[in-house]
Amino acid sequence: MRMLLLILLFFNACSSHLSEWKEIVYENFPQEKYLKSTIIELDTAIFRYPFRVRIHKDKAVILDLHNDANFYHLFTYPEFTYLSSFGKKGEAPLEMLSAENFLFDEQSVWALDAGKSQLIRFEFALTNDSLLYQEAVSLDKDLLRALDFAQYNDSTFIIPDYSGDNRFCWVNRQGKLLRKTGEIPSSNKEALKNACSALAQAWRSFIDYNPRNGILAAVTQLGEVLEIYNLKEGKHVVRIGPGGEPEFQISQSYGVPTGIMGFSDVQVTDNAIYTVFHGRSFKEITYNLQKGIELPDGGRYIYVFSLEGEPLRKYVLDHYIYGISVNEEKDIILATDVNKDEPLIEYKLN
Amino acid sequence: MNAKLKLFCLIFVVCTLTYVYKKSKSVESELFMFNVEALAGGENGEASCYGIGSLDCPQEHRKVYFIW
Repeated sequence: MRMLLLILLFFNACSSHLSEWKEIVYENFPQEKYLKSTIIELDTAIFRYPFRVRIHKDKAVILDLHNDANFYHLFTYPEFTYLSSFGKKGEAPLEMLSAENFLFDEQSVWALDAGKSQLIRFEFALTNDSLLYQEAVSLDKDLLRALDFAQYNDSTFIIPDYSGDNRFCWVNRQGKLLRKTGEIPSSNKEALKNACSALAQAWRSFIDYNPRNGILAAVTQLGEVLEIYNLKEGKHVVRIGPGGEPEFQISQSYGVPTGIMGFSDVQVTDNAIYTVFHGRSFKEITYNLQKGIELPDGGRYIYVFSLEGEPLRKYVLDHYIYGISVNEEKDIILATDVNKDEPLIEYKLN
Repeated sequence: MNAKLKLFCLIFVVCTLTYVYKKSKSVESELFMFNVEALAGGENGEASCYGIGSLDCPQEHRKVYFIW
C-alpha cells in the first residue's frame, strides 16, 4: 500500500512538473485573424530601412536604420507630410555613429547612439517643424553596448545588459549606472556560467515600458521569448513560444545566431502587449542565400498578449513588417516595411 | 586587302568578346564559390556578417542581414 502511494506521488510530481512547464510555454493563440494593409502615401522617398515608427500627438517620427544622411525623419500626423530630418550620420560631435531606438518625451525626442554610447536629446524648434540637437548624455563606461532603452521616469532609463551578468541596467539622467537587476532567464546553465557575453548577444532584446501600468516587456530578437516585468507588483513572467530560447554557437567569444529570427518590436499599451514576430529559421535563410536569394526581411505576424503574458490574438499580415505603433483607441496599427518602396502601412484591427 | 582587313577585324572582335564573356563567367563563378565557402565558414569558428538588416554584427558593430 505504501509502495502504491509512493508510485502515485511520483507520477503526480511528474505530471505537475509538466503542467508547470506548459504554463510558461505557449503554443497557440485563441484567436487568429488575417489583416490586409493600406499603404500610407509619403511625399518623400528617403527610406532605405524603416525600422521604427512612433507617433506623438500630431507628429510622427520614422527611424531609418541605414540612411546615408539622417537617421530620423519627422512627419505631421495623421497626414504624413514630411517636415524635416534629424540625427545626422557621422563622427563629428553633433552627429550620430549609429541609431537604435528612440522615444518621445513631451517636447523632446530621446535617441540612442550605440556607436558613441550616448543618449541624445532633440527638442522641437519653436516653429514645431524640426527637432534640434540639445544634449548628449554619455553612458557609464560600465555599460556594454546599449542596443535599446526605455524611460522609467523623468530621471531614469532602463537598458538591457549586454554583458550577460544581469538582465537590465538602470541609468540616471546623467548616464550614470545606478544598478543592475535580474538575470537572463535561460535554461542554458553552462552558457550562463561560462559564456555570459555570447549568451547576452544571443538574448539581445527589444524592450518597452508603460509607466501607467508599470509593465516592462522584453522580447528576444532570436528565438521566441517574451518577458514581462510588473514593476509595480514585483512580478516576473517568462513566456516561451514554439521557437524556444535563442539558439547560438560561440565563435571567438561571439554569439552567432543559429535558430530562428524572433521578435523585432514590442509595445506595451494600457491593455495588452503587441509584438512583431518573424519565425524564419537561419537554415532557410542560409539555404536561400547560397542560391543567391535574399528572403524578405521582417515578420508576417503580430502576436498580442495580455499584461500577464497570456496569448490573446495572432494577426497574420499581408506584408513582412519590422516596427509597429499601436493605437488602441482607433484600433489601428502602423507598421514599417523594409522590403517595399512604400515604407509605411496601416492595419485596421476591426 | 580591304576584305582581309574586314575579316581580321571581325575575328578580332569575336575573339575579344569571347574572352570578355569567359572572364566575366569566371569572376561570377569565383564570387559564387567565395560566397558558398564563406557561408560554410561559420562552422569553422570564423564569424562574419553580410548585407543590411537589424542583427548587430558582433565584430563590426553594424546592422546586418545575416551572421555566420
